[in-house]
Amino acid sequence: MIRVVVRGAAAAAALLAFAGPAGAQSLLASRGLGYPLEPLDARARGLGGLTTGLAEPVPSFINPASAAGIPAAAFVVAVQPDHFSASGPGGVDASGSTVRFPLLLGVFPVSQRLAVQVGYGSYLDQHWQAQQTDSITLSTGKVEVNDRFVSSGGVARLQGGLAYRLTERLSLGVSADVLTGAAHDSTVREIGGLQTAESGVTNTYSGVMGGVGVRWQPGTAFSASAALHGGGRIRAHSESDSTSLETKDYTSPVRADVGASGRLNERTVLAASASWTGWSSLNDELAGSGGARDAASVTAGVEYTGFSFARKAIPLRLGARYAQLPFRWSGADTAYPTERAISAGLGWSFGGRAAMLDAAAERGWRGGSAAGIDEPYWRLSFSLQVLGR
Amino acid sequence: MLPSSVRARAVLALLPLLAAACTDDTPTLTGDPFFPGGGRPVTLELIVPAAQFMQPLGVFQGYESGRTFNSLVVANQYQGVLNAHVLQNYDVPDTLTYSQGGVTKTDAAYSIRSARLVVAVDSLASFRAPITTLQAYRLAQAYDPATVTWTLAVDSGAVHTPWTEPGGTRGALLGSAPWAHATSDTIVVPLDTAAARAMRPDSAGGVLLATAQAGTRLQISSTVLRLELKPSNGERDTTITLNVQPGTSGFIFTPDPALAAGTLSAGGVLAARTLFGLDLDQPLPGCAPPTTCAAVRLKDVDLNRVSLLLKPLPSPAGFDPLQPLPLTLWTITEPELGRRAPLGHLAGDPQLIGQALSQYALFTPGDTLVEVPLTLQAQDAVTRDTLQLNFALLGEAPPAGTTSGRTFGVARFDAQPRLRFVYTLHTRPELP
Repeated sequence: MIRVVVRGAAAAAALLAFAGPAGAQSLLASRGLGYPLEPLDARARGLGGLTTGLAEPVPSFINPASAAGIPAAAFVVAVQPDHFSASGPGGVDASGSTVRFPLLLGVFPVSQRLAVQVGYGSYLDQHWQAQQTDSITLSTGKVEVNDRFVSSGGVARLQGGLAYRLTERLSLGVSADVLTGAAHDSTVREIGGLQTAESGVTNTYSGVMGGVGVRWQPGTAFSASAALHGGGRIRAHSESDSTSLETKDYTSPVRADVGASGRLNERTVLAASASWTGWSSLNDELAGSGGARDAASVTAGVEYTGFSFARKAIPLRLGARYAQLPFRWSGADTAYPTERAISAGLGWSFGGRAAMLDAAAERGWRGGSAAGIDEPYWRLSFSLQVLGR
Repeated sequence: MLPSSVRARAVLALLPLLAAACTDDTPTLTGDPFFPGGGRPVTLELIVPAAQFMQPLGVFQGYESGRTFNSLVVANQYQGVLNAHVLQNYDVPDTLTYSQGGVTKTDAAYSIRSARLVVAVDSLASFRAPITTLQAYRLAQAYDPATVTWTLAVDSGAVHTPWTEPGGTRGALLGSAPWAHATSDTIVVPLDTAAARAMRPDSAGGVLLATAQAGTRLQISSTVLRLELKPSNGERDTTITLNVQPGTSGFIFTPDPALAAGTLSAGGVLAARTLFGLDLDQPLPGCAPPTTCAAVRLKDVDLNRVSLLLKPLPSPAGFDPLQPLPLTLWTITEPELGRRAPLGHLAGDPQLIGQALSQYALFTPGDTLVEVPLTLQAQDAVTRDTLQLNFALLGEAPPAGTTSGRTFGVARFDAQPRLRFVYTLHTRPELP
């Protein structure tokens, strides 16, 4: 137990030390409450973004029941380099890259039936910036100004959960999430020949939500899971120089996930999941920025463990994903964007399976012509899971 | 094969390297529609009349004199009033010592084949007269270079010896040469060789430089007495050029520049300065006209520029600056000391100190408006919440008191300057 905590903490500290400020994963980070991020590890990404449904006990931010029956303490950390380029009408032509850490999660078995998990996961990304060159008229004549608005930050989830193996076939889980984070909005105006003006506002986000999960394993060849999160509200508080400016409450959307996996043969597992998030509950609250809709997604993937290298089994994964995104890119007369992706991944165990390194590459397309933006992207995922045995 | 624990640690080490290898690049949207509501800066300008912010504390001069000026000035009824003469002493040696063929020789019987006074003119600081004839006279009366004035050859303690002729008692004309502006920066005045041979620092006078034409003003950077000597004991056709620097050199002028009531003065040969209090605590409009809204305070905005707008007035007759004059604002902490109020620090960009004059606020002859910035000082005052400030306006570049950037002419401004604020309201981007 102590060893896994130490290893996990070391990995987390090392990653965070090098993390630095993250850039955006999408231009859509500038819309609504930001670009939704899923706290998934690289194995799930390789399977198309599978949110739940795997048979064996694994740490999961989505389904708190997923960890039930885990044989030893585990710590998983994921890192996600990303690059995208976006284009669209109105002079939209931008690209960005970032390295993000969507998941830090530890699971500790208390008994053969009960496990406790605690973790930190990404939720909403608000990294983006806008600029505009213009001119203003002073008593001395027209002077050029260059304005830049930078939003840096987002919302994350701090989660604690319990997983309980009720029977050999049925496991249950509950979780509580504290929403936390902040976005610093800074504005810079450069005026030719004059001093630059800078001001900033910090928007802090807070809230709580709860979650429940279930995993059902009627036999060794099939497993089904489901999870539900939601409740509470997201409170945004804006302040500058310790002066409170604005406070706004948003409904915390309900999210439902279902997933299943089946073993086609000894070496092949087929998995699929679907999720739905009730973002439309924020439609009125976000009416000024284009509203919000409910967003559903489906994923499917296959994992093959028959390949080996250096006498080690190397699991290979393929997956695909289709998702609706909740916030419009443009005005109310445009369609909501979607996200499509295909992915591939593999895994490598170390130290007598004490550590597992997974990697995934994802090629995706966001937006759509009716949505007013096209944003193809590459997303890599790496995750390290360390077991305390 | 490495132990598995070592390999696991290696993986841990690889992850941060992987992360560090990737750089963040935040995407940038271009265009006004992409700014959130309230996220676009608004810049406004306010010009405040003097009565609203200014408290005059006095106009003073005499911090410097002609003796500490970095050049020499010669003038003849310039603008109908100004006269100035250069007074110099040269020490032409009794004995010539030179080396020839590896042998050092001494000669007290050498002869002067030619004598020329080579005068370097600061043409930018000199009046553009069609022709200016520089005259070199022998001074017919002894004087004290440390105390000499236009009317007194000696003005030391109890000794007050007037010039027989105000401005320096002239003896014989040693030579003269014409100078046309823009043709050359050097005037070569041929001198009488016998007179040159007699030049000694302890002689009755020395050399007086004047201009022949009324309405001329000439600024001189340097002079040298260039002699072509023929030794009496040298080999045939031996000629030696000897450059003699002036032992003492200065100029006297009359009258002093007048300080006119109700004006601001800065710079000039007597280093005029204007002291005033300034109240920065001005209410600023929170929106551009014709919209009306509540005023905002200085601490609630970003100051892009705070400056004094000065309206030039004609300089005192004879003392118009013929070249750009740097204007600087200095803080003063004890204004009650009046003309003796010590200067604090330069109000402006401290990095300016030591920079080229062109980096400063310059009053150039012909300007109808001069802007002297004090933005950084104002920003600092807002931070310290001390918005009542006292300044001295000087007509020279720092460090104060040196000859850097000083001009003979003095700048004079209307006593009702204006205070200009260019400021940007703090943005308040709306929550989504």
